[in-house]
This record gives sequence, structure tokens and C-alpha cells, in this order.
Amino acid sequence: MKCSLWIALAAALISVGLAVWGLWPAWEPARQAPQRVVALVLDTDIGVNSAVIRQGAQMAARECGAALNVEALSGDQSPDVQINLVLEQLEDGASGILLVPADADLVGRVSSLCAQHGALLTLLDCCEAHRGTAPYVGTNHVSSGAQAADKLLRDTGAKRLLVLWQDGGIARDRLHGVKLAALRAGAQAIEGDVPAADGEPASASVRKFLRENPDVRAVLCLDGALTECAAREIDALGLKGRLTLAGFDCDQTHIKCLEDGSAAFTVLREPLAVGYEGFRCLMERMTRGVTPPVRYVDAKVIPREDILKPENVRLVFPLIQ
Amino acid sequence: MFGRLRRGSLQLAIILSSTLLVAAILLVVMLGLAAQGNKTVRDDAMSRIRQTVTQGSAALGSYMSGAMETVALFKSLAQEAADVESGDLAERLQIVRRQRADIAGLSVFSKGGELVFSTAGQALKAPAEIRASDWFVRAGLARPSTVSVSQPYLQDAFHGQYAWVVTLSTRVKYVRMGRAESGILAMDIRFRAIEELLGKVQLGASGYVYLLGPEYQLIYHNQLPLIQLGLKGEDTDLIRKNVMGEFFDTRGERERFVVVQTVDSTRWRLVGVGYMDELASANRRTIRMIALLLISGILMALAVAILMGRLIVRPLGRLTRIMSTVEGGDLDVEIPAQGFTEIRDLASAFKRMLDRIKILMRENELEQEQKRRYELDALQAQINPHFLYNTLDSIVWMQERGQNQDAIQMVTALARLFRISISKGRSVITVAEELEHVRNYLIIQSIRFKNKFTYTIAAQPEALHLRTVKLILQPLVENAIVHGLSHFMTDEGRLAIEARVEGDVLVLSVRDNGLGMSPEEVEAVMARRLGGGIGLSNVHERIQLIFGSGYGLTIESEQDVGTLVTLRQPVIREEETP
Repeated sequence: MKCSLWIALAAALISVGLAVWGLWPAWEPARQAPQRVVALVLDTDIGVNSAVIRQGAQMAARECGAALNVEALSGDQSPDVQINLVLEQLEDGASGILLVPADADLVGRVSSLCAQHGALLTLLDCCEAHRGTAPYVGTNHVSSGAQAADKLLRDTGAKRLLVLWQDGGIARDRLHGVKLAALRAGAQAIEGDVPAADGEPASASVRKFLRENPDVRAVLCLDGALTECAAREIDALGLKGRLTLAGFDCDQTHIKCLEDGSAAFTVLREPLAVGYEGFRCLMERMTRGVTPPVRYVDAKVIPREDILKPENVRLVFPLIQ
Repeated sequence: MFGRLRRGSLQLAIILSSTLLVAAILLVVMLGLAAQGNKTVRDDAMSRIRQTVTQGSAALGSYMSGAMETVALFKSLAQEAADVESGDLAERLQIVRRQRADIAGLSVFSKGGELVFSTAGQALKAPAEIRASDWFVRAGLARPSTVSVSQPYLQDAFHGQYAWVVTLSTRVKYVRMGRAESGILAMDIRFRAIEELLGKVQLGASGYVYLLGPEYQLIYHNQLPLIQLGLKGEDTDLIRKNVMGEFFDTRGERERFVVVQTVDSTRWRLVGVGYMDELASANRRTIRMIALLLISGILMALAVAILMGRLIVRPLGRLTRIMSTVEGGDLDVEIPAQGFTEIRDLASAFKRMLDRIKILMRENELEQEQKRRYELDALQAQINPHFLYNTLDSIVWMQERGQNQDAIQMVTALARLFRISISKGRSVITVAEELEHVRNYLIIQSIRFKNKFTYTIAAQPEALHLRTVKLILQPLVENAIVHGLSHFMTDEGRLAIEARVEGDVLVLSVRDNGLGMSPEEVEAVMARRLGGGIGLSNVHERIQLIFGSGYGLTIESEQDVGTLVTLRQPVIREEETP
């Protein structure tokens, strides 16, 4: 009998507790998991590419309900500073790092740091030489080089293709792609290694390559800034109309070339998709643990007459307002 | 289960039944509330989406109307200016423009598409391209007072200036170099202003709005870049099928409520998308609250049921223990009247029953005692040593006097008397046997009393086979002889014995014409106060003891007339004999 009294008392107390809990709107159970923090560490704080990668990552972060911290190297900072930026983020609690590496040597060191802190690393839009074994989301630069060469050779029917490039990681990948495409098309790719992207040394070098290859009908610049330099020299040498020029990316000078007809097309990366997909892939790894080690984001070839088409405008002018 | 419950503990039955009853009632009520709450929340959520989209559409419409009024203002300034190319007009237009950061540029073009005036400087495009522009064509075709609204596009008409704009254009008349001309006034407003306006429209955590052009093309969407990249999708065909109004889209994982509104002053459609699961979060809270209150109510009912069960069962348990004590033989226990009215009534009834049992037990004890005494009396009546001695003495005397025939008759009667007295140990005999016994007794007594009385024995034939208690008549007859007839002279006394049936009653009567009794004496005889009364009262009590208080002896007597003693007992046939 006494036992039943205790049961009644316990039932009454629990009942009152449940009633208070039920009627008290502020006592919502804390269902949300702690917010994940991801750091995006860019190789530069200038340029359209970095800004748009950031935009894409921010869109994905909002969608995933995660926090995104963004750090970037300033123009004059050494690539090693990126290590410090990553370390700061890891110590601040970042559980994932999205890195656009400024240097090939960085990737291994950042990977070790992430491993030490139990964080995951994903590389964004860098050349193959920089990637190491870390997961990668970004443009297949070899493929985009081949894409550009294919179109240029197909449009012009040229058998010799002058490739102007300034030595660098991504340009090297593109060059590799161009050579593969030329080989496939039975054409010859002539390498024009330019010491700088603009300025007199660049102009002189471009001029030299144009003069050395008077029978060339197609010129491909693997760097956006080089395109304007090449267009200027072509014009200066009176070759405009005889030569078809094409380039990569969408900086202001290249757009000008497209608008005035100096350049036939541009091959654009999709940095918004790189940032967005990179973030989502990293989150997927953090939550599910599985994701493909490499996810390529296609580049797009945009002819000059299509740059103002609604579907291309935001790609060509990503920051326009 | 119910059978087991019925056979189980009362307290458990009370707890389970009341708890289940309360739970069932609460469940029904709570389910009703939940269903109603769900409907209300859903309706409320839909209403909020509707209102939000309507407000967004109204805000956008209002913004566009304001922009059109600005165009009208610019138009009037241009028309009023003495010369459209004068610095005065440019200054006035710049003043107005500076007040509106959302205006990207203001231009006046001639009919041929040549730039007449612009706040941006020289146009980049050729007049033919300007003429082919959508906004130019629209304004040219519209009435002079109409302001046309273009779709958002990248404005690249001017050197080095790119802007994502919507152009509002209208026909305008102006004076240039002293000549009245007409052309098109175009005002570019930054689409960013519209994006900011729509960005403020909130539809829950993941709901959103988007803007469709006249051809159902997306012109604003918070994920437009991702849609253009193919990373996201928005099915505008649904809107094409539901141009106005609202509908539910249940094709995806989450149910969406879609509201479509046309924006005033434009041919745009604002589409609001709300996710019902998200909007129903309040409903989840309500359901949670109801579930908690339901469990709380059931637990409270359980607690109350336990207490009530205890209150009810505890006095019953006490009563049960008292009954066990009574069963053990202790009838003097105290029965407390506690608990509910019914239980107190039960205790009182038990108490009354116990009191009655005590009385009955005492009566039973008395009856048993009396029975034993009556049996002893009967035994004594069967073997009355004086009667035997006197009879035997009479037989001896008759032998001495040579009255052999009388002696034989007396011995024979005595033998028969004893044979019937024994009756093989039976206590119930037939009326015929009882009358035969009395007859033998009277034979002996009439010889002993020297024929002072005569007697008759009469019986209805149907009475002879009925049953009566053995030796019940002999005391009556003995009483009549000893106290009524013994003083008579020879043959003066009359004794009549009769047996008859009156309905369900067997009547045996002994009538004498003796001395009779006064009423006081009759009363004294029945109360055993007079000598010889012992026999009558003994018979009366034996009859009542066996057959109940409705039967027994009645004495009717009158002094010097005689006495009639009537014995009434129920009719007992042979097959009913115990």
C-alpha cells in the first residue's frame, strides 16, 4: 500500500513537471547541432576569381547553416603566410579548410596541420602540381586548355597554333591540354613563353613570336592579361583580320578585346561553382565522411557575340551590379 | 483480460479503469485540439505567405511607380528646358539624380537613336544598335504618356560602364539648338535596388521569392547564379500553368506553397515559395505541448486513481480483516464506520448482521436446549414408570380377581401401546398410528379408572394417512382424564378425539366434558404454572419448534362444561416425511 502512495506521488510530480514543460514555450529542446566552422583561405585578396569563389562559398554556407571565415593573402605577402592563416583558423575552431594554395609546397604542410587539428582539407581551383593527395574541387585546367585549342583549331582550320603563355602552374596545365588537343587535331602547337603578362617585355616577346611565325593563323593566350598585349601587337603588325586570337578568363582587358573584336572567344572558369561546390563537398565529407577525391567544375567557352547573353552575363561580369 | 480484471484486485481495477477512462477522454480531446490546431496553423502559415508576397509585390509595384514618376519629372524638365543641351538642364537633372542612388543613368536619344543628352557621357553603341534596343522600340510604339519598363539587362551602351539595369523609357519632346524635336528619354535604374527590395522578403528560414518576366524567364532569384550554372533549378513551367493565385507543389521531398502575384506597373510576376514543414514548426510545438499535457494528464489521473483506490479499498480491507476475525469465532469485534457512505453502509449492515447472528445463535442455543428437554420429556412420556407400574398393578389385581378377559385386553393394549411408542425409532408416524396409540392408552386408562368415562375416536379417512409427531396426542388425553374426568362417576365422563383436515392444516382435537377451566387457569396451563400443564405446554412448544409459530395448541374451556384442546399442524404427507 505504501508503495502505491509513492507511485502516486511520483506520477503527480512527473505530471506537474511535464505540464510545466509543455506549457512553457521557452523550454524548446536544443535540437540544433553546434554550427560547423569552415575557413576559406585564398591565395590572393584581389581579382574577380577570388571574390567570386568567396561568393559561392558564402552561398553554400548559408544553405548548409555553417559559418564561413574567409582569409586571403595580400598582394605582397609571401605564400608562407598562408600557413599562418590556416593555423589561426584551425586554432579558432575551424573543422574544415578550403584552400586555394599560393604555392606547391604549402599543400603538404597544410595537410599535416589539418590532420593535427582533426580538420578536413579541400583544395580549390589550383594547378595539378599544387594538389598533392588532398581532395580537389575546381577547374580541370588541362581540359580547359584542350577545350580552347579545339575550338580555335576547329574555327580557323589552322594547322599551326601559337600559344602565348607566361610560366605558371595553371598556365602549364592549360598548355598541356593545348598540346594534347593539337596532337589530336594533327596540328602543331608553338610555345611562346612570355616573361611577363604585360608591359614592354611582354610586348616585345609577343612581337618576336609573331614575327618568327608569319604563317600562324591562330593565337591562343593562356593568360587574360596577355590577350590585350597580343591584340595590340597583332594590330601593330597589321595582322588583324588575318589572325584569330582567343584567351582565357574575363578580366577587364580581355573583355575589351572581346568587345572590339580583337579576340574571338574566351574560356571562362566558373569560380562561383568552385566556391559553392567546394564548400558542399567539404561539408559532405564532414557529415557523411565520403566524397569523391576530385570534383571538376567545367570551364565554358564564350564567343564574343555571346558575352551579353543573359546566361553568360553573370559569368563574364560576375561582380557587376 | 476483463475476466482476469474482474477476478483481480479491486484497487487495480479502479486504477486501471479510471486511468484508461481519463486517458481515452484526454486522447480524444487532445486529438481534436491537435487537428484543429494543425488546420489553424496551416491556414495561418498560408495566410502569412500570401500576405508577405502581396506586400513584396506591392512594395515592388510602389517602387516602380515611384521610378515612373521620376521619369515623368525628368520628362517635364526636358520638355520645359529652353535647350536640351544646355548646362542648366544637366544641372537640374543631376540634382534630382543625386537624390536617388538607384538611378544608374539618364539619357535622351533622338528618334534616330543618336545620343542627345546623357548623364553618363558619350554612348558607345551606334545609333542603329540603340534603335534596336528593346526599351527604345517599346517606347516608340507606346503612347506618349506611357512609360515602358524593360527587362533587366547589362547596360553597355557607354564606354567603360557596365551596369545591370532596368530601363524605363518614354517618348519626349525637347528643343535642341532652337528646334523642337522628339525622341526617347531613358532612365536606367540599378537592378540591385530591386534585388535589395526583394531580398528583404522573408518566407520562413528557407522560403524565398523570385521574379519572372513576361515570358516566364527568371529575372530575379536569390540563387540565380547557381541556377544559371545548372547547380540549382527552378521549375517555372508550374507558374506558366498557374499564372495567378496559389497552389501546392508536392513533387519534391518537401511540400511547397507557391503564391503568384503580378507586380503593378510591370509585366513581372512575383512568386513566393514557402515550405509547409517549416511553417508548421509551430504546429510541431503545439503537438509536442499536447503530447506532454496528455502524458501529464494520464499520470495525474493515475495518481488520483491510486489515491481514490486506496481510499475505497482500505476500509474494505479493514472490513475484510474484521470478517476474518468473525469467521474465526470472535463475534465481539468492533466495526468502525469509516470511508465513503456506501462503505459505511456496508459496515453498518455487517454490524447489524453480526448482531442478528448473535441473537440467532442465542436463540438457537435455547432451542437446542429446549429440544433436548422435550426429547427427554417425550422419552419420559414413553416410559412413564408410574403409568407402567399402575398398569401392571391393575393387571395383577385383575388376575387375582379372575378378570382374565380384562387382564388380557389390558396386556394386549399395553403391548400395542409400547410397540407404537417404539415405532422402530421413528419420530413421525401416521395419524392412524397415533390414534391407535391413543386408543390403546384409553383402553388401559378406562380399565384403570373403572369406566368413569367413555370415549370416541373419529377421523376423516384422508387424515389417517397424514403424518404427525409421535405421542403428541397422549399428553392431551392424559391431561383430560387426570384433570377433567377423574372426578366423574361411572360413565359420566365423555372424551371425544377427532382428526380432520382443514385445507392445509391437520387438526387433532381432544374434547372432554370435565370440570373445565377459567381463562386464568387456561393461561396458567399454557404458562406451565398449573400441575399437568407441563404436558400441554410441552406439546405446544414441540409443535411450534417443529412447524413454526403459526401452529400449536389452542385451549377452549368453560368451567363445568368442559375443555376442547385443538392441535394444529401442517398437512404432511408420506412423501414429505423428513
